[in-house]
Amino acid sequence: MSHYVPVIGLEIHAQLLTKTKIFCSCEVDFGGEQNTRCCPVCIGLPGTLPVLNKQVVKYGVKAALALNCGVGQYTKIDRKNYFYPDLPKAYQISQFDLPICKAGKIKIETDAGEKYIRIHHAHIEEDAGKLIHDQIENTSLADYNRCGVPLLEIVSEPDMSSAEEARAYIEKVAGLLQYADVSLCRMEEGSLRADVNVSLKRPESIQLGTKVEIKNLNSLKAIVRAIDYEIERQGKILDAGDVVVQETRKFNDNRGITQSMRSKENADDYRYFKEPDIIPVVISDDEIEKIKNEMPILIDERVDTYLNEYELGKADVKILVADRAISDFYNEAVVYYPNHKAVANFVVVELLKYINEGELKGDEIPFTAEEFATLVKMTEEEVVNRNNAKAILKLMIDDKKAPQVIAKEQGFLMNSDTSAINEVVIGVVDEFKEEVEGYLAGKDKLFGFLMGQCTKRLAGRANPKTIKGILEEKLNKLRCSLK
Amino acid sequence: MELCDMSLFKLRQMLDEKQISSVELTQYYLDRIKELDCQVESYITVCKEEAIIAAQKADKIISEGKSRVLTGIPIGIKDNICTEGVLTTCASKMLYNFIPPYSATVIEKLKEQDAVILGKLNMDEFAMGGSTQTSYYKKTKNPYDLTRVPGGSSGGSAAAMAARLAVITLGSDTGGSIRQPAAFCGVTGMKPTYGAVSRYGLMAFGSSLDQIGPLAKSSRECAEVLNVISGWDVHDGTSSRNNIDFTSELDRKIKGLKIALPKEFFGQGIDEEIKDVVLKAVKKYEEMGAEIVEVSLPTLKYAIPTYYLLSSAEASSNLSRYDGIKFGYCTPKSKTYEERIMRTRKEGFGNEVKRRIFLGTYALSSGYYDAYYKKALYMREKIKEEYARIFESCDVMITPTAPTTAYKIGDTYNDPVKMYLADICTVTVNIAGLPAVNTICGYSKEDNMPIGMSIVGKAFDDAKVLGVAHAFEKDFTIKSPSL
Amino acid sequence: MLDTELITYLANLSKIEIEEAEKENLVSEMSAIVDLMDAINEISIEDDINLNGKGVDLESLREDQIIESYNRALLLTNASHKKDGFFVVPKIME
Repeated sequence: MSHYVPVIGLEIHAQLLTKTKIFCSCEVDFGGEQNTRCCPVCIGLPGTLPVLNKQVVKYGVKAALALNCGVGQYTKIDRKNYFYPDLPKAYQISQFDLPICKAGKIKIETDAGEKYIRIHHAHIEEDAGKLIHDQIENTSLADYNRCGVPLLEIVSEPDMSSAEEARAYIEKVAGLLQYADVSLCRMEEGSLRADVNVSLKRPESIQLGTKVEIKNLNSLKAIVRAIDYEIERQGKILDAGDVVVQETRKFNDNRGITQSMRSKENADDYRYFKEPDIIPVVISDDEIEKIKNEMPILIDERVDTYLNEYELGKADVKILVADRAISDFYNEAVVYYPNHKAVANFVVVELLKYINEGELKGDEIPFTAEEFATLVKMTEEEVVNRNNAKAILKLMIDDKKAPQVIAKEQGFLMNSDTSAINEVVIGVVDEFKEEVEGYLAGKDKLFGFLMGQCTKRLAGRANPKTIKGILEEKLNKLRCSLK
Repeated sequence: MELCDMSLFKLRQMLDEKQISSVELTQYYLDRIKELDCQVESYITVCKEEAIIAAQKADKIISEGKSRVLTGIPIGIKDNICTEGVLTTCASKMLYNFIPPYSATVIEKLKEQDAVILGKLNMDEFAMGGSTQTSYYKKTKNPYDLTRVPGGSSGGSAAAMAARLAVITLGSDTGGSIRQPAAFCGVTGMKPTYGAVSRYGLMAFGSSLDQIGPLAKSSRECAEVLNVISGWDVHDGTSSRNNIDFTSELDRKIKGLKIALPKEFFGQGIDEEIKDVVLKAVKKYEEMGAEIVEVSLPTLKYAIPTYYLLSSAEASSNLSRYDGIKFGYCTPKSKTYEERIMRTRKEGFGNEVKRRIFLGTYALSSGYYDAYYKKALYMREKIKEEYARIFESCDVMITPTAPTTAYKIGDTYNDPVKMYLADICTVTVNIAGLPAVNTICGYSKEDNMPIGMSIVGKAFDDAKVLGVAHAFEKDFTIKSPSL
Repeated sequence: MLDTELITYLANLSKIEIEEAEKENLVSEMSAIVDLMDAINEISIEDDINLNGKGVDLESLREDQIIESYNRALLLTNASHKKDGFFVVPKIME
């Protein structure tokens, strides 16, 4: 197997965050019942015309800037012609030779090190509808709600050579687009899909092998598994002296294998030509400058701030920037409590637990960054202890109350009243006379036991440092009186 | 003077002065249609009830003193313009049952003025043809001679005007489809500058060439109608933001006007008598003080292939949506999707439409695009350049509208090549997106058939073109057909 | 050169069924039309001119503002096969 080099290219489809569809004013909304987010344009009624959404083009420009691509300043819309029942006009409005994003490259990082992946171009296009199989009638049912949802298709050069690199590339692209505010890029919600091209070549060869395309992958896991499977499959074919067939395959998630799709006849003669209903768009330098100024801080700048200004650890930084929403939340929280490391630690260790387990979504955190910052501050200042802070966080999610309120209601507040602690310490010293004597006789370990007894009685409501101070003081006094 | 011979302006005055009601006028036209259209066969659908209801409403508006130019005026509409709730067939079997759920922008504008829509007019199927003999429903006759074609594709609109079966009609013009039937039927017909009138709701044929325009008894009436139906439309991204007042040059002086006479339009292939009659009209302009400049349009020899390649390529894509799924005819004989779509299109489209789809598909298909479609795009630019050069020094251009007068039914329309060549006088105007009006300048000696000339201007000089035509019409007597 | 093979290809591409018996006739009809188009072959594209026309400004494009969608029943009225608010097509195999 190792005698082949995998050559991998990706086509990523990211849904753009517009309110309306790309060519009509219907709302982009996936909640609706079938065919209720449609108008005559969506279903391609005779006489209807597509009218390009300004915001889609602006997002295209933003994406170009975020992906380090050139902006196509004279950008043309084209028709891609093919018949399929999810495509009401029998052509997809897309871009062919003058796309909105021109070539560029982005840096990825894997265990194998840093690497640049070139982007061939990215273009805007409309999504197609959905087909549902009707088991009873043995028919297919067409829902055109998704028709006209705006997509950005980012086409890479075949610069990746492992599933790991493909994963890193997708994560990087998704991060950049999230940061540019043009797409949510959530694979699990369908706002990011990818087609993967895989071929194998011998290391010494400059000629690429036969390319196989795997369509419509909608999770990172599936992408990695599909690539790995395909590398192995093609390797075996080549080892046996056979040739790889150029084809489109789909990934069977259950079986973890790729399968040949019935090839559609003439499928690749798309007869692209300029969409006569849409005039090419000219984007001036001034407009690009304006859009640039509207853009939020991008991922690389954040990484830089986190590492160099906030002095966070590399691993934490990577986790923080992986989801734009989390990074935004963190940035807001440190405004309220500028203990950058403590807040970062709390986000990475405590908050992300809920998100990774799927209980929470990064952009749907039910409390404010200010409340979160308050909780971290309370913990750092030992107003509550760490264990209780965790419990408070859970209650902030479930009960949606402020952390101070929860701490008070639950009796988590540390006791700053030393007389109460004093009382407990005296009680413990009285009760465990043997242990106290042992300690004073030189068994230092018994201090921990006494400390534990005090903490237990105070039930987390007192600052351990304070307890320790008072206990030491008490024991020291006893030692003196013994002398 | 008979009611049906009265101009829009005379009728406007009579309606406003309550000499006649819109209901009476509408009923009068409905009666005429009933009586005469069995001979002419210009209407596919007559909206008897809807028309009377609209007329009643118009009468109310008029009685309130709020009438506008077209309030209460009975108008006929070409059957490729969508009318909400009213059958719109494009003269195709494919749309034998199609009831649009929306109206074209031009229809909305007519309704806004409370114009009365009498019905939908016959045409060549999908506007592909110059004879109105390719309609699936009926073969419209020329009111001047019922054994002759009315021209096309807006043959129903032209014949209905000539037979006085509407006060005004609307047609559409992709390569001469308003001007040529207007010439054959002895009426005035205007194709405005591309983008002047919204195409929303016009069933697309060649999207980069199609324009809606009026047919009427005079240029003055055409100008009034255009003022109503033109203007920028949010539903048509190719509609222009230039606001044209089409009536603004109706009183323009001819003295000093520079008229271009392109020699290629007066050469081989054009009937001698037509040349003579048009040149006589040109002479009249000269007498009125115009300066005649002989010019050359050498690209004319490429006009036919350029036009047929562009329009058919666009049509092949535009007509892909007719698959029997969302609307229109669906074959009863199919099991699979593939069968349904292929058979629906086989049975639903007529031969001429299929030929154009094949030609367009061929011109765009891989391996042929550069040889055909791309060259046609290039020639389009060259033709535009030549017109631009001519209009640098000339105000308008005059050409014959058709190489012959209306020919006998059955003669030509069976030979596609002969049909295509007959479009030579009109197609360059569409290729270059220019305004042109056909006006009648004489009748053939032998059979008394109308002869038309076209006055062409530079883009957005629509008012000038109409003004020049009007200057001629003022002293020209129309011979009405006898039915 | 146009032949029955190319006609069959074009028919498949444009999804119009044609019968074997029609093919010969269609070839000759389409050949005559293509011959007419071939006049354009003698031109060669020499200058590097823009074939796509003048562009429009970004600002002239449609604003991203929602307009309520259509009534579903109205959009489905013209469909030959429909069910539960869906357009129905013969079963599609992936």
